[in-house]
Amino acid sequence: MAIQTVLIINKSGGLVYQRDFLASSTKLSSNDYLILAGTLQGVTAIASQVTPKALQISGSNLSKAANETEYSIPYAGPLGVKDQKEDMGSFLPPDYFTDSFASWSKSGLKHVTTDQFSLFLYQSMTGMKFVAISTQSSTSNMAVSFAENFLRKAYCLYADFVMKNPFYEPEMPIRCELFDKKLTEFVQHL
Amino acid sequence: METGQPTEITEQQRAQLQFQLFQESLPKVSTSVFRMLLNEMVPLSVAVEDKVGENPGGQHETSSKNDLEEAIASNLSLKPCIDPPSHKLIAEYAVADEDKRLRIKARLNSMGLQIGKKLSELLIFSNNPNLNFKDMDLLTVMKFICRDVWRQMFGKQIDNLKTNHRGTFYLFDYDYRPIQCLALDGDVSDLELNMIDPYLEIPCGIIKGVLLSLGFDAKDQVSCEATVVDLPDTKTGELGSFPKGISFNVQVLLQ
Amino acid sequence: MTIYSLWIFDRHCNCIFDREWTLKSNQASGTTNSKQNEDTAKLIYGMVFSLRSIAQKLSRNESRNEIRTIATGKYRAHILCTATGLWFVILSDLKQEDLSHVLRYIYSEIYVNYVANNWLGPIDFAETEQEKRGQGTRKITNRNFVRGIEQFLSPMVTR
Repeated sequence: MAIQTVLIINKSGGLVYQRDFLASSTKLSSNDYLILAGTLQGVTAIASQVTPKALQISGSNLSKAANETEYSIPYAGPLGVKDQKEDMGSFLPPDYFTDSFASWSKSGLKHVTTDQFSLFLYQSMTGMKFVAISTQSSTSNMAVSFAENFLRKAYCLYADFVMKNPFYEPEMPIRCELFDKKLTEFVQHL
Repeated sequence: METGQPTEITEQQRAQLQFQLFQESLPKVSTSVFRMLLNEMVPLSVAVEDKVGENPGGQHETSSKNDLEEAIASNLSLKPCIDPPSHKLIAEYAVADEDKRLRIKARLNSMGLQIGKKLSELLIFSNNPNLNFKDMDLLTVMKFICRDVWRQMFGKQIDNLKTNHRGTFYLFDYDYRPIQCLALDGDVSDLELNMIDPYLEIPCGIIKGVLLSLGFDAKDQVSCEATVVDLPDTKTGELGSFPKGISFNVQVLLQ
Repeated sequence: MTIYSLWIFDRHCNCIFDREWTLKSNQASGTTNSKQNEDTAKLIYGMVFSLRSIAQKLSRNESRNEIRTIATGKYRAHILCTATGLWFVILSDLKQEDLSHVLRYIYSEIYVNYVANNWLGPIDFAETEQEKRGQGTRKITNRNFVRGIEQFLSPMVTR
């Protein structure tokens, strides 16, 4: 599974970061990417609206504990980090990433497959959306949890190298060299 | 035919083989496309009836020559004209008056008759070893219709043949192919049976046509009409099959 | 194996068939061609339409890039778009990774047989200009089709 593109969408649906990792990937204009980000934002909202009635009925009966296990994402192994010691600049120890974690996006869009590619979407609690487009069309649940682990680490990089940058203005397009560099490194080591 | 001599049997087998080879050499037609064409004949004849009704033939008789030419010219103009969809035309048939229905059915019947006349030639020329027309009595011909004509047209044989041996025959088809996929909402209703009605007219014409070409050709000698009957207990309830069987009642006056 | 609902859309953006099961334990539960589902149908249409246009835009070559599945944290939608503009959509639980064969069967064995081959029913459900612009409410109601869908999908609801 090769990562073709990574997008970051802020909580109001604006595209703040876009990067292609493959030379052969499609060249969309920046305007197209903006439209794409807006569409994904809208679809995420719609997707939670059309939750089947059967789930709405049974969902209210489930206990809280059952709900929690249902939405926890299993740990998918060390991705992209050559050495566990080499941390990602985070204040958290590297073994923070060796546990399963809870997904914040319970009913929103997560995964789209088409004939040519898959698109994965990871939503943070603050409403940031991290999107990865991979060159493989895979519908397996393994791929979904794998991608979520990947995007969670991208989120961590974002927290470390964008949020800690004093010159970055929140909600605006990200132009941080260090973040670029770390993300590319991370994707290449995948 | 059944003589029991070994040479005779090989002769029969040879004929069978030859017939089989001949059948395989024929060009193949997709059954679903064939059935579509056959089914489309019904809405077509309703559409034709509509068109003919718009310009009745007697209209021009009183008008002068110039008017006549104009009328013909206007009828000849190539206006793009698409008939209403098939299901509308059939629904139209179901609510039409008796006169119009009879005209539509007569048109379908005559189409079937033409097919029947030609079909019998097609089946006989191919030297089918199963056919024996040496002593051509009516029963042999009816069996020919039940077996060969039906297989050629609908890919199956008639399920049951009843006769009083005095010229009356009942041909039961519990699985009449052209109508198998036809359905309205809910259970079978009178409206639906009304709509099915014209679909039974083509095989009636075919039966008549085959009998005609095999010598039963005196005026009004053969009559055939179809009625809807209940299925026998062993056949009911299958999905995607029409819940009623068809009985083709053939009446041949013997001279 | 659990499926929640089936939706069919025609090329005029109308929902021409919907079947939703509301109880996992009861395969006869739920609604068929319900008027209450009109809004949900429109939302599903909008969701598929948007993601389909994204897929088309991101296509790497000239060939059409059709959408296959959409997953959220709760359910997964499986989609089959035909060349004639029909969309078949099934919503299922997340354990169903790929139901494309089921959609294909519904299209080829049930829809073609009982709708396209039914001379008593329409093949194009929009009759007026207005209905051709997504305002149509006509549904597939003929007994063979409804029964065929029921017979084929019901075992998957409770399993």
